[in-house]
Amino acid sequence: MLYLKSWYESRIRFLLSLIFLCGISSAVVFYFAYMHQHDRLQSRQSLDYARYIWAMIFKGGNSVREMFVFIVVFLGMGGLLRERAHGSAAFSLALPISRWRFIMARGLVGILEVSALSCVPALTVLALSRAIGQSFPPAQAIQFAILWSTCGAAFFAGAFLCSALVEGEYAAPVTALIALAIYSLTVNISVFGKYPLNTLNIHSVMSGEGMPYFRPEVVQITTLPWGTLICIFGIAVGFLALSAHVTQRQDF
Amino acid sequence: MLWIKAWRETRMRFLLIAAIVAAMCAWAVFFPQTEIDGRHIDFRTSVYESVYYGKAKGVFGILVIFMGTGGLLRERSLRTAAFTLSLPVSRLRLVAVPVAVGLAELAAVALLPAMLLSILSILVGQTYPLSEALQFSILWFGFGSAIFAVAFFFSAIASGEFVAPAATYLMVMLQGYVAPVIGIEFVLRAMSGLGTVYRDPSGDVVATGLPWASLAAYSASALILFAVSGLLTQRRDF
Repeated sequence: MLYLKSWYESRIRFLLSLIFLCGISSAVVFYFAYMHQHDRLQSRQSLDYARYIWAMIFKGGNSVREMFVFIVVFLGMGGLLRERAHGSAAFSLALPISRWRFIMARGLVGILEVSALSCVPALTVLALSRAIGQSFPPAQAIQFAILWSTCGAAFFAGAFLCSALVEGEYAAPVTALIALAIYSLTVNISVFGKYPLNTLNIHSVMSGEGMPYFRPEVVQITTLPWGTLICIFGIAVGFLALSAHVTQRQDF
Repeated sequence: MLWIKAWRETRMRFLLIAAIVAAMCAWAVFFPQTEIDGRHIDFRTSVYESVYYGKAKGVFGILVIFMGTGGLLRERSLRTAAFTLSLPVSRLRLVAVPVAVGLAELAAVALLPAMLLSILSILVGQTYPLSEALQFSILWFGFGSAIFAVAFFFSAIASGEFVAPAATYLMVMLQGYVAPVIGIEFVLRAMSGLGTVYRDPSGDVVATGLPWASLAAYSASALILFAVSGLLTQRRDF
């Protein structure tokens, strides 16, 4: 029942996000066909289809990936503090389950939703590429989906922690976005380039840019960084556990 | 009293946004970049790249969305609309006051870098011209008010908690793709002053003046959106 409750609470956001990601990914694919048809690519001969898809969807800088991160932050909003604002916290707290279980159910459903969303751009590209006479390697698409899924889980859990900590209309998403901005700025400081922390630049892990497992000359992931992914997923689980711990101690 | 109500409802968001913008300005001043893509840059360009061209501007552009969200439809979801509607004031005033408070907060955040950069620069033995910073404040406020207005409009037509910010974000991103095609300014790019306050064909920074026509067009669009939001709120059954 808890899982169903979590799903009902987030399904509108999830479905809208799914439609949006599907729409924007389709637009990116068809825009390539449009440019190709109108010879807009003549001046950029080197821009092959795989590179174009990587730049527009998987890389960053006003790409679909950034929109995905933004969406995930919104999906992460939830928990008992938000319910208190809506006047439904008393009902949830009256259920014969621990707060820990309540938070974990919401977290698990959220992570599953993030995993589903992370597959959307990859599947859309795979499905539509053939329609415009192009092809994108399925293995690459699947690998990017796995990267997005794991890294998205960390962003989701971070946002979820913010909504467990901060109360107030829109204060939680604003805090989550600020935390995301601070994180993004910090990991981009060149000082960290020397340390292993650089491999936990989740934005780079998602896009592959500057990572040892990514070959920029052919725009391909050679092998998935399982160690890094396990680390990032561990951070996500840690954030969820911290959210549960904070919620357990809160007075409603 | 309406003014205090609007301030109390938005102060947390406002203070958070002001704090992050201030922190990013301080970072830009105390830890300036010395080169970009192998090219040596001076203090002024470094500040421009960090604050007005890059990250601080991006964060401001996105967080402005949350300054415009709220309104009576949200209050209905939170079950406080009945209280607000029972106050002896017109609905038009209920809409106008949050808009005025929001725009005042927006102006304060837009002015913050101008004040901070000028003062903090002195502490590190550098200068950042106030006149130049104020031009960017005008750009941030002018184009930011358009984003604010879109968020406010969506808040007036959709009651879902995240519908207004998500729809506004979507609109801003779509504008980024559509604007070059139809020949108008992309708001987030226009805030940087690219091609207006600055043009940079050879890496040099040259002032060319504010884009008053674009600013007037976007401000007029914002006013129209505020007016439509007011009209919709007046006719809605709560």
